[in-house]
Amino acid sequence: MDQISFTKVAVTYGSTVALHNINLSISSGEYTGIVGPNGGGKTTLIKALLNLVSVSEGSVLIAPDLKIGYLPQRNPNNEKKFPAKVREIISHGLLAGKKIPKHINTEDFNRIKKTAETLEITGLLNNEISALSGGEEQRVLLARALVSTPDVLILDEPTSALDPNARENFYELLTQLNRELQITILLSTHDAGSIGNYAKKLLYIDKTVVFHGSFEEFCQSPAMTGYFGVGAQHFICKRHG
Amino acid sequence: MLDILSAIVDGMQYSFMRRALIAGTLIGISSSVIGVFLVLRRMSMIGDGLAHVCFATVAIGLLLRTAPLTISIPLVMAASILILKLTEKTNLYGDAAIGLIAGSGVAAGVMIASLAGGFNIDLFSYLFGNILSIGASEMIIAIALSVIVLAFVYLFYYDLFSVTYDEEFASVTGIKVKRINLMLTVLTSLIVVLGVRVAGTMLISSLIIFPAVIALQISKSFRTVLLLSALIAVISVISGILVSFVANLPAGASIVLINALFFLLTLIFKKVLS
Repeated sequence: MDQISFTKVAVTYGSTVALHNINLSISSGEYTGIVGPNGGGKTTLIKALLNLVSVSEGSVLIAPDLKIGYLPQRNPNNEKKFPAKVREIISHGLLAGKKIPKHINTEDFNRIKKTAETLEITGLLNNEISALSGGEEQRVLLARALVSTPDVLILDEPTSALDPNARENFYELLTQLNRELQITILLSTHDAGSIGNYAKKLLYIDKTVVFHGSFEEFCQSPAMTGYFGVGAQHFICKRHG
Repeated sequence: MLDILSAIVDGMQYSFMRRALIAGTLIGISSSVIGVFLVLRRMSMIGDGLAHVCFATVAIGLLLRTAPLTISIPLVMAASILILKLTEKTNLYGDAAIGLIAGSGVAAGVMIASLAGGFNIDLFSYLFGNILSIGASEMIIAIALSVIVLAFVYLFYYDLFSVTYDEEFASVTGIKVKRINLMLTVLTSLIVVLGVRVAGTMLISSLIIFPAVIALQISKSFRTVLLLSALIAVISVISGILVSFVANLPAGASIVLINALFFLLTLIFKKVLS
């Protein structure tokens, strides 16, 4: 069943076309890696889906009552000291749908603890967010996205600040969440080689949809050579050969 | 020491001192609490910019011979919305938008004062503040404003917290980010207008920035930062007014210098502890 569908979507920033003629469906339980060149529209696609930018043409349909968890590309407010405990930051994921004045109740605290256990960050709950390493912080922000038990998890270049080891661990964690909790995952990355080992589908965006299918199909398609250059299959697709 | 205590006790018998302490404390609490959000969102200089606009609106009030507050509140509020819209709708950075509005405000103020026949003592008192001359009506407005600010922070605490940390994520969770930003900006303008009576247009931004920055040096939790910022504001405002009364010094400058001393002590204390 389709949870998300784009029909003839275009997004423009002033006179610059960021996306055009995007037709796309994401089904329940899929794990899709979004790849493409810089400026190709990966982040814009995600923002259009989350209604953070307005589409200038077409429509984005989201299944009714679909709960979405989101992990943004970069949090600018962590450059300097931000006075918040990890548990406070995770609680922000529970604010959707609450009435004013919003409160975090005992049930919410239990959900925060349970999510922290799943992501193995229980020991960090009382730590200051600014004192965490890049990998720890990314897990905390993932916990914030997951604490509301979303149906769909959207991640915008979540591994760009991680070292290779932390990156692989993060991908494995997402695979586990997709498999065990049946969460639909949509993840944008520059790291097409790594994501191919984990995602079931690959979406290659360069202003429009260039390719959408399995990684194995991608390895056989002209889009692969167009993106990575001739001969790249040998390195990137070797585990799928 | 006994002489000082005796002077303070004497001072409390005067209604202007009681009004100054009540209004000053409440304005201090409001500005310090809102200051935490402004400092963390790199919007702390908006207080300074709006204070410059306030200077122009006071000049208009004096020119028209009406109570400056009745002119200042709507005009400074409009200026705050203009700064917000300039940053949202154009590609201007926030500090540049503040600079544009602040510069225009001062220029307009000087022009109006010149048309009115030069600067006078009233306008000077708005430049550096004079909390001891605050009237009963201004005290009532200060009480009402504090209730509004504290109710806003209580009701929208989690929304403000989430927007301050990560605006994009907050928007995805359904928080009306633009509405929160608008309310925060408008309340800042009200605080500035009233704060000008405490510290003057030159120093009001210090009432917004200092307590928040000191609290941020000490606390690691968001809620504690808000409470601590308010506490620092209360202590500095009360002690500043008392110092000013006892030593016959300007109240606004005394409050700001006490804040500066707190900040210095916090830095030294942190350095020693580490």
